[in-house]
Amino acid sequence: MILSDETILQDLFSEDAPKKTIFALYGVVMLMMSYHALVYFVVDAEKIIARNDVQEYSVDFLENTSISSESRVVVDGEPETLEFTADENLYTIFNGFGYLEITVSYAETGGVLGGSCDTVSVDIPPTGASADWQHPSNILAGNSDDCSDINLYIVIFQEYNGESLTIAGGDPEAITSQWTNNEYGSGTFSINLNVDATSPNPVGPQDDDEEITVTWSAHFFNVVIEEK
Amino acid sequence: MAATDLGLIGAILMIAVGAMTLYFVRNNKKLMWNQRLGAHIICWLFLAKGIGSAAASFLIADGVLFDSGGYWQFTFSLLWLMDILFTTGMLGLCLVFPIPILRNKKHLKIAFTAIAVFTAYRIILFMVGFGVTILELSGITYLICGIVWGTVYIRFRLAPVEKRNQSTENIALAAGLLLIFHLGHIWFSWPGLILRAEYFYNLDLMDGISHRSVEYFWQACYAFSIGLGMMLCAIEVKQLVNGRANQFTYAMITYFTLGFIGYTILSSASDAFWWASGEQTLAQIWITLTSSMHFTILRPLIGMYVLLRFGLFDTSEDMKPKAKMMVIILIVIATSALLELVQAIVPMNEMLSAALLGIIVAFGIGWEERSFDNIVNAPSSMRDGVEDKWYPHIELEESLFKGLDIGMALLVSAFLLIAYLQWQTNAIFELAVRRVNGEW
Repeated sequence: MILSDETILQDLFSEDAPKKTIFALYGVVMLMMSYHALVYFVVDAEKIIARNDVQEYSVDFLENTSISSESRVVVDGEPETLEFTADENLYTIFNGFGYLEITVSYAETGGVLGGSCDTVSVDIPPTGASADWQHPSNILAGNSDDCSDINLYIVIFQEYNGESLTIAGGDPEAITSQWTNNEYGSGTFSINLNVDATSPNPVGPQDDDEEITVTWSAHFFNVVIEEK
Repeated sequence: MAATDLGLIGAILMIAVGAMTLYFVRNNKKLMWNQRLGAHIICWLFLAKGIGSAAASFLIADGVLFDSGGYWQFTFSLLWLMDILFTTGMLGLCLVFPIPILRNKKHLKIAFTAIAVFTAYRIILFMVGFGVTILELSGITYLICGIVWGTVYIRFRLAPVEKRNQSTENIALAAGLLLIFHLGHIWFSWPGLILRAEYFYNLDLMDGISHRSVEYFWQACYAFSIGLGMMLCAIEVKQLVNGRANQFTYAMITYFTLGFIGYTILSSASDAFWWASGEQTLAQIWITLTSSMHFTILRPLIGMYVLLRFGLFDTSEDMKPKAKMMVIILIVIATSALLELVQAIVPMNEMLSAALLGIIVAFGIGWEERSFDNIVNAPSSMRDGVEDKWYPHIELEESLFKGLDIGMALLVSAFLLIAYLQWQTNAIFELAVRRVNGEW
């Protein structure tokens, strides 16, 4: 047999080739591709197009605040530390611990009537509990010298700010799962309290301490997802 | 064992097969040009798919969250680039093995230049932000390889009686095995196509990043492959009735029977693509044991069988001990992966599973001793008694094979670099955002 150098087709479809079967193969594959196109573009077209539509969901957060407070007399020059641990039961009721607000309040209680307010400074070390410590909205330290409250703020759940969201794609279970985590907020938060007492008069009763009240407001949330 | 673990084991298996077989293939200089070229390509197919599978495992393990700046972009990019390399390899392979479709050096130059241009085109598309679009023609390899190997298979399997011999049977068997290698996972879903099941028509190629046009074209290529498989299965059933069954006959019947059984399990599932494998539901377990298993364990075994069975290895007396060692390593990995898989589905005591692993590996090695010789000593010729017209002689320089290996190694390295850059530039995240917004 002379080598048919020009094309393989002459050999594949030579006289002794099972041409009927080969062409039947091509016929079957064409039939299958046509059937698929018919189902895809006609028979089930609506269903398939609907599947490709991106569903939008509104994600809302229902918040619940758990408040606890504690008072402590802090002596000038002797810093005190208070601690806070969220109630474990809250993690089972809610999807997550959103953020923690801390209000430090005090009044002028020592010395003479009308004495000037002491200077109170507080700070929360970013350790001991799981939170989004690097979040730019965090306020981890503050001070006051006019008896006004000091307000601190810590984002606990990553990216949580309590505002409603719109999400395209995914499914409600996946979105809920994304906003469910009982690790965030676990552990113990602590706050350091310092008092710099001021006495109006060097003679007479001296003001060397202050009673400080710390209020911990733990904002837990539940996720509510609805199709838009 | 999670599906991602199976994927990782499969990746290790494929990289091991690729690296070890490349060593043996490089030493086998006595082969015909087309067999030698084919053997080199098969090795690189394994290496590419192995690296791609490892990337896919990490991608799935990460949960595919599509976050900005995420590491998932590196694994996603690497997976897709390796798939491009795999596609290139399959196209090259079907043109030269088991019989060369290319008849002279000019054909060879034109064909491989065209493949190189197509590969470069796909890489550029991916790099400029048009990855995973219809422009890439993802799935075209199923069509081209299917037409070539399907035609070759029928041509030799159903050759006139007077022209049939062991070589024509071997050519048909090699073409058939390569079809299983490439299309086998698709054949599991044949009832889904015909009965309009969601698990077939819902196929989501790249988890939201692939455009709808890509899904259509990919599915159309699946429909083509299923039609091809059904025809071949019918031919093989007839051969079985006529007493001419071979390994391909049983494999085809098994794949199509499993596909039929699978329909009853998957008909209520929304997705049966291998991404959906796992161990939680019956449907996930089924996908793990069929399509996922095909990708991770059966492909390396089929590839190794083709290399051994048709003498693409250097199995001379000097090399035999090393080849045997390679086969033993592969069998140990494959059997332990299988046992782990069974253990994940049917939890058993660790002592019992350790004992079972020992027994299975011992049997595996014992089986290897006998089966290795059987395979290596089986008639492997594809040339004896076959007309010369099927094997045109083309003189290929030794440097070409060295160049091929070096070129492929450089391409794999370049892909790693590209994947890293795409991660650092957030390119895949931006692609995902565009897809979610319905853009190209």
